[in-house]
Amino acid sequence: MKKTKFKILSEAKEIELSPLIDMVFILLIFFIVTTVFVDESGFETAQSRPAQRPDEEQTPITFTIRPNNIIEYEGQSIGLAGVATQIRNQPNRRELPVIIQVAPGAKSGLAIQAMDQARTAGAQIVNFAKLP
Amino acid sequence: MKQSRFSEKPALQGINVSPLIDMVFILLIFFIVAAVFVEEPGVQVQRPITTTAEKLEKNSILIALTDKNEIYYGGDDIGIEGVRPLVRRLLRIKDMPIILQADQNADGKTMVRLIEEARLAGGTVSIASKVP
Repeated sequence: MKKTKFKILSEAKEIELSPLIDMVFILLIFFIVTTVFVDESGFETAQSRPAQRPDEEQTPITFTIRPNNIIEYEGQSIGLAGVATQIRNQPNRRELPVIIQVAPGAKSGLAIQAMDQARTAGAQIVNFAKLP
Repeated sequence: MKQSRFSEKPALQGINVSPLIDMVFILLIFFIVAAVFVEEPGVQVQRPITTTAEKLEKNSILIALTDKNEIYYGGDDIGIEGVRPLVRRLLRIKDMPIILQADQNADGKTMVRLIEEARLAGGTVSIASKVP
């Protein structure tokens, strides 16, 4: 009984699966090789947006990043933690624009960390600027 | 002859490959779905450590700024002049955010200029950082 069934099947020609499997394997290897798992963390730099009404425009609070890891506020050297302290002292810090001026020769890492500190203190609009 | 051989050793009919094919198909579909085709900058940078970092979009334009102030995209040193045309061209294909991988020892002014260039091309710029 079994024998006859086998005979009939072999006459009806089975579909050849091996090229399909080969192709699927090649596709699989291609996708394994090309896949890059981008896993970046960070934050978005705020776009400076124009004020809706000119009378609502606030004077921004400005910090200056200088070489040798110095952060200045109103001419005084404050530490990295001083950025957050200064912003917390402001009355309406959520709407307050913060500008981080970068002097020539200053390290970008410090500028990014100053921006991070400003965000920790609750500032929403933080921007970088070049110091001429 | 063939038939008698078949009936003698029914255990050696051939390995059942269908579970294997199923598994390979599942792997294939996983990698197709997970594949993000992004050009990696091709250089390693030391990201600054920040506390307010968020997860960034996977499908992004990755631009790196090294500690020697070279700007890399897709393994090539494109220079500051190359940023604006590159971002404009890529944004025309698909709207993506830009992730800037800035080394913590890079020049701050170059970083600010790079952000400005990318914004002029119409992109939104995020800065990659390391979570402590």
